[in-house]
Amino acid sequence: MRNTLSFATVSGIQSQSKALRGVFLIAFIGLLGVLTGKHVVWPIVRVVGGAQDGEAPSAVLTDIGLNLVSALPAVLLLLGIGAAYRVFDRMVAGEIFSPLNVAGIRNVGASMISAAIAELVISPSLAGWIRGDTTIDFHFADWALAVAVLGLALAFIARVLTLANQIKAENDEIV
Amino acid sequence: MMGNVELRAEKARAQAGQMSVLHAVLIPMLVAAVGLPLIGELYLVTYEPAPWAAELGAPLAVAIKLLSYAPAIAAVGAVIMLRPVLVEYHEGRVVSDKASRAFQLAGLLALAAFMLKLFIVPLAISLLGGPAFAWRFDLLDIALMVLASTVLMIGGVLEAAAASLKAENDQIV
Repeated sequence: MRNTLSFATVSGIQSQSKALRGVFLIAFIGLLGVLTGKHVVWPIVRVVGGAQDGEAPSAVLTDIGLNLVSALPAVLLLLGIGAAYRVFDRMVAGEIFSPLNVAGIRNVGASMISAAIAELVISPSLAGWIRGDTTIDFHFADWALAVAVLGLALAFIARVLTLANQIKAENDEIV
Repeated sequence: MMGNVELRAEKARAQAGQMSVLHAVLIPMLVAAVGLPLIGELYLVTYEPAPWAAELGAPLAVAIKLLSYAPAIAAVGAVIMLRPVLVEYHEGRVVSDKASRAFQLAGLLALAAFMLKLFIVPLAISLLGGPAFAWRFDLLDIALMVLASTVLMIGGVLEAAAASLKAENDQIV
């Protein structure tokens, strides 16, 4: 696929990717920091505070469980940002549609789909189970459906690019 | 071996067709999910206004309601924009200018949806006399904006690939 791109095109993609790579790194570090604060530090503080106040362990565990379950979509999005960072990092190095990059694009799509599913069904259901419900809950989030569809499209494009790479590899072998 | 790749390409085409049908079903559902509550809220602020809406007057209250739905409308627009992508892939045009532009537009609309949600809508609503602007720093929205920009960039790269391929073919011809 790379051979089909002119030098000027690759240079343009490289410079755009360089800018995006920086944005993604900042977003990754920021999100990781906030997630650590909200879902690692807070539960520890909650356990210590609960023990000092003599709270029932079940109440503390419920709070921590709900807190951890609510982090699931954000953690999956964080994985997607990490995968996207690596994709743009390779693009900066001149690898545009290499097999590794295509796999990276597929991972970004998969993270977006799984984050949407986590937000729509998994997190609300797990939160319900922690509270003692036994049903499967569905939480309609306006962003989740759009993200799921965009993630599906990315995963599909990755599949098509994988095929394109395979066809190119076979053609190169024939030549 | 070549047959195997062709078979997989055919499978991918069929999958694009299936996704296209799924997409066609999803669009009216999304339009209804956003449009029906919007119509209901517009009716309420016009004919049975809450104290805040009565105080502002119907035109401003309607504008605020429309603005508050703008991010959701942009998100639905992003989903609708993916239609040409699926259609082009289903028809076997993988490196298609039309598909990559549509993909870029989808990314742009998704990015716009989160920008609207985070900054523009709260600010515009406060300027129209609604609740005062208080920016809620939601990292989930920022993560989604970043991923929407990935879609935009991949669309751009695909468009560049399509343009390069076309230029190469034109040179050969």
